[in-house]
Parts: sequence; C-alpha cells; structure tokens
Amino acid sequence: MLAKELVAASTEPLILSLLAKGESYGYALIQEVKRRSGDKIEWTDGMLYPVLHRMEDNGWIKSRWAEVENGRKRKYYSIKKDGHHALKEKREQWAVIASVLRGLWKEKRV
Amino acid sequence: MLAAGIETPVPLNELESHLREDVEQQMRSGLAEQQAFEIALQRFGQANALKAEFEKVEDPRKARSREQKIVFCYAAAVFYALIGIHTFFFRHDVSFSLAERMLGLAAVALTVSLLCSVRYFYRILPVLINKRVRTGVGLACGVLGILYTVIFMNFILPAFDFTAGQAVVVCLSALLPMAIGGIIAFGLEEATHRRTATAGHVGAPVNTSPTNIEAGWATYLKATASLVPAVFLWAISIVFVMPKLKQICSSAVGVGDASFWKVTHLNFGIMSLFHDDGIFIAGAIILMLILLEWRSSKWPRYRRAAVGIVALLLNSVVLISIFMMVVTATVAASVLFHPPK
Repeated sequence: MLAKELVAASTEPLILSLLAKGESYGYALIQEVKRRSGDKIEWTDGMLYPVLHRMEDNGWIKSRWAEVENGRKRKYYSIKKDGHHALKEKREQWAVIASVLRGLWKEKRV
Repeated sequence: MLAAGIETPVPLNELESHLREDVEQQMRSGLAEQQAFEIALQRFGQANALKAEFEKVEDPRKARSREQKIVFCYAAAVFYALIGIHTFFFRHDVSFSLAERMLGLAAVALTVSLLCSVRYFYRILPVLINKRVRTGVGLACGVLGILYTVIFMNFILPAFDFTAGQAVVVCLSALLPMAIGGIIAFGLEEATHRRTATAGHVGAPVNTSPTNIEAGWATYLKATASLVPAVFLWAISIVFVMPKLKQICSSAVGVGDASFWKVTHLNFGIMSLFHDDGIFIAGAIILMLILLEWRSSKWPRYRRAAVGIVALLLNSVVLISIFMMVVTATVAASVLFHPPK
C-alpha cells in the first residue's frame, strides 16, 4: 500500500483522468484504479464518495442517477468543463514533480 | 445506516448502491448471499467513521442553516443592545434610580455578550455523539429557557410590587435564560461537528475514538487557574470590604427603594455563607471530584465540560457579587452625600 499522503493527493487527478475517458460510477472507479495499479492502490468507499461529492460541489464533475438491470439505481459521474481545466492544471503540476524526480534519479544512479 | 444516524438521503442511496455492487461481485465469486452481504458491510467500515467523513464535506444546505442561526444570534444581540440603550438613556417617561440603570445595563450587556459568543460556545460544551441525546438536551435547554421566561412573566412579576423602573430591569434579565438555552442548543451541535471530524486527510484510516479526552490534571489546572483571580479578589472583598460596606449601608439604610436593599442583604448573605462555610463547601467539592475520578468510568468524557461550566458559574457569581458591592457602595455614597431633608 502506498503512503497515505500520496494516495490522498493522487485521488483527484486520478478521478478526473478516468472520468475524462468517459462517465463512470463509484464502484467501477475503485475497481479500475485497483486494476491499473496492480492492486497497489485500493480506495475505500468511505474515502472515495466524500471526494466525489466535494468535486461535484466544486463544479468539476456532475452526476446523474441511472437505472441498471434488476431495477437498481446507480449514480454515474461525468467530467465538466471546469473539471477539464482542473485536470489540465493537475497534469502540469504532476509533470513538474515527475520531471524533477526523474532528473535527480537519473543523475544520482539511485 | 439510518440507525447510525447518517441522514442525508443522496449519499445514503449511493452507499447502498455501492453495497449492492459489492454483494453482486462477491456472489459472482461464489459466496452465499448473506455472507457476501456481511463481508460487504465489514468492508464498508464503521458507519460512524463514514458519517464523520461525510460531515467533513459539509452539505451546503446545512452550512447555510448554521450560518443563518449564527446571524440570527448576532441580530438578536444588536436588537437587544439597541433596546437597552434606548431604555436607559433615552426614555424619559420612566425614571430609573442609579442602581436600576446599572443593573439593567449589566443584564443587557451579559445577554448581548452571550449571544455574540455563540460561535465559540461549543468549546466548553461536551461532545454528545448520539444525535438523539444531543437533540434532546438542546431542546430541553431551549424549552427551559422559554418556560422560565413565561413563568416569570405570568407568576413572579405580578406577585411583587415593582416600580416601573424595576419592572423594566427585571424583564430584561428574564430574557437571559432564553438566550442561554438557545446558545447551548446551538453549541452542542457545533461541538459534535467540529470535534468528531477525523484528523488528517481523506484516505487516512479512521480511528474508533473520535474525540481526544483532555488529561484530568490539565482540566483541573486550567479550572483552578481561571478561578484563582476571582477567588482571591472575592476573599479580599469579604474580609476587608464587606464589613466597611455593611457599616456604610447601615447609615444609609431606610432611604431609597426597599427592594434594592433586600438584594444587597442577599448578596451579603451569600458572601457570609462562603466566608463561614467556604471550607466545608470546598471540601465537599473536592471529595466529590475524588469519588468521580476513582469510581466513574464515564467521568473523563464529561469532565472538561462539567468542570468548565462550574468554573464559569463560579466566576460569574463572584463577578456579579463584586459588581453588586460596587453598586451598593455607589448608591450608599450618593445617599450619604445628599441626605434627604
């Protein structure tokens, strides 16, 4: 399991990036991140949903309830224009960190 | 989940939906439905912890209603202050003696400052996690305040013969318990909201005992420190000032409204009580504290609030008592300097 701070900091950019590919719902987001990280990032629902709500309050994503099979309801989230802007900003920030670290690690032969 | 007190409908449905997804997933892996449900519930984490996470992302509706209540208290404070100033400085149809003026302004000042402190009151109130208990206590305080005012207006007021001036002062003081009741009700909610939020950021593991209980010695130390100045001054007043004041009063008594002197005698009486029996009262309190610390397992949770409120009350009593002494001296002095012919 990764460090708490890293997991927390990476939650929003991950959600925005996934939703930029297409709308999705909470459970699927958790499974997708788990799969892509080789089980190294395991979000809990207790962690994810408040973040989703906060992002919705910020106006980055919007949600809608849809009916699936068995008449069950599912809440789908999709990214909004402000969300795309936020994602672009976060991409730039992460790129800065990544390039600095990459440069250091290339030099130092860590 | 409703039992645990999660109440906002939308997140509730969303979590339910998530739970069902998990159950389905488990069943696809071959588990029986009941088992799958239980595992999903476990994975859910404790409902209380979840609620704390949700309350960090505060519902804009709730935030707005909180702000509205605070603004209402400020507005009431301003309104009350204006009434006070108008009554005691600008009304000419009712004549107030100096004592009445001071007492009335003191009552208004106390109410106004209490109303303005509504935002910070939560710090001395206990955290009551159980929402039903919390709502019950808050409601009881509010109702008690209103009840007090109603009983006061209908039964106590007509029973005494008050001059117009005294009646006004007494009415203004009667509204004080209502303000206190309202503030306590609001503060209890605040205390729980602010102090159960889990430390750290989203993603950190949520702990099971949300509030940090202050160490006993720290609480008692703080309470003693806050009481020392008041008790010291009061002791000095009782030993040195009161005898002189009694002397002055006896030469000035018989002049001015009788009820004022009754109040003064009451004040002297209370102070004499502490002077003579103070040791026993202090001993009893200390004994009770020792018993609570030793025997009660619930005491630490309520200790800070109880000790805080008692210290506040004691400080207030001392403050009011000393203020009364000042008023008495002022009135007696004015009578002595201008003896009626």
